[in-house]
Amino acid sequence: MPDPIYMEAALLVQLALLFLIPLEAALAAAGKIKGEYELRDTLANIGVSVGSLFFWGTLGWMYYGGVLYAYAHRLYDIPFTGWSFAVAFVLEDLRYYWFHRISHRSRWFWASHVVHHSSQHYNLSTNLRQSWTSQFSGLTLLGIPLAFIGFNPALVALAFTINLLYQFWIHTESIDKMPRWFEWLLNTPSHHRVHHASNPRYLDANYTGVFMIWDRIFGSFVAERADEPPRYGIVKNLGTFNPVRIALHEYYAIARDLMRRDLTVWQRIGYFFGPPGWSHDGSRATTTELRAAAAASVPAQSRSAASDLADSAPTVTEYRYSG
Amino acid sequence: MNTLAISIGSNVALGIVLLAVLYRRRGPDEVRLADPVDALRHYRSVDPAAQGRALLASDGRAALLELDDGRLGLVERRGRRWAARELQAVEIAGIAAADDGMITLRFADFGWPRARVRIEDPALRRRWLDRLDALRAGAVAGSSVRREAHDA
Repeated sequence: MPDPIYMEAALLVQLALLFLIPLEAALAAAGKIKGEYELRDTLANIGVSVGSLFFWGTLGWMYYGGVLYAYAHRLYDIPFTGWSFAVAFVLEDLRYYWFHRISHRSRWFWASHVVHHSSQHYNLSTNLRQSWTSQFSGLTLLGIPLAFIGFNPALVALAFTINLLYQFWIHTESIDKMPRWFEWLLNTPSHHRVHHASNPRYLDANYTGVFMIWDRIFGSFVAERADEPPRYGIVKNLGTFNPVRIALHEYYAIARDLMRRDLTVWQRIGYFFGPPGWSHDGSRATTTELRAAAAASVPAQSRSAASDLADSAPTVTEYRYSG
Repeated sequence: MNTLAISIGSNVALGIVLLAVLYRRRGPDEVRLADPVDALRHYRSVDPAAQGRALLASDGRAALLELDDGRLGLVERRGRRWAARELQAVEIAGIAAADDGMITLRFADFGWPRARVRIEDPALRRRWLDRLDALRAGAVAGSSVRREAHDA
């Protein structure tokens, strides 16, 4: 298990960071900074947070147990030093990148992670909206290789915790851009706003936890554009503020798809592990297809398009009730 | 353990402060759809190429859409934001209409269990109830109906 002194320090840092939430809410409400809070949305965030803490508290041993087991069978003895911590921190960030990317690209893992993206608001309280089921999904197994190589579990846990704490401050609209070198090297509010956006251009982008270099290397970096403000939330937004529904809705949807009688084994596997939005008959759209459709209907939606946004106003032949 | 107790206690206190701030500054309940174009613009979050006709609810809190390819859509207010979805036969678990003009749609969707659309005009309400009933009846005949219409 992690050294208690580090966990104590992490708790204190977390506490200090949490003080920023009511501060941001008050300043945003007063119009001093950019940002928006909504009572029901924030209540939902708090409710989801309570469940997430409960499941981490009761099932966190599954993650730490795996790390300890791997460390017991480690390949090398890596000392606990500043350098080993630096290396572990970079490797942990690489692990986070792939954990995060898989969480978006495969429906079983997305069912766990979608919780964090389900708010249509973007503020510091969005941090509270975390998965209830990360212990079940299996992706925590990605934390094991570091311990198996020989990094001390306390060091692995410290790197993991600092990575998560770093990501707290980037959930805000109150900071526009950081200095250019900072934006190139590190994850920032601007980069992470793109990650939380459901605009087709911004889908499946900016998975990094701390170092933006991973997104640049693996081709998933997308810059925020001044002419296209992020539209937060998921492609098909939820119609509820109920924390239980928020936390578990995608599992219900997977179960419904798997219970269909007219599917082959491969189609069932597709509904389980395929990309979110995949369907055997093409009746739904994946994020890749949505990006392509948007690019086809509005050429400037293409990530590579350099031109300004075309006028995409819908043409409506409508009737309207006016009684 | 002291640190943990302090952390938990402080978190609770912070939560109360936060909610008090939000309650005091919650603002007026004034989010409404401006017009059918506004409704279609919100619907485009789920279908970027959608074109069609939109009927605003009498209270402006929702809209029903008839898309050019024959599909139906829904936009509904969720707090100060909007949620949109295609109305698919297999996802509609129930349809109810009240005397005050409110149509309640129940969905087989854990993340969006129901939607309410107020249509006070009796003729329009009847037309849409028939349309929704026909859509739902299509689920019994086979959900491929929607896809064929789309392909056509």
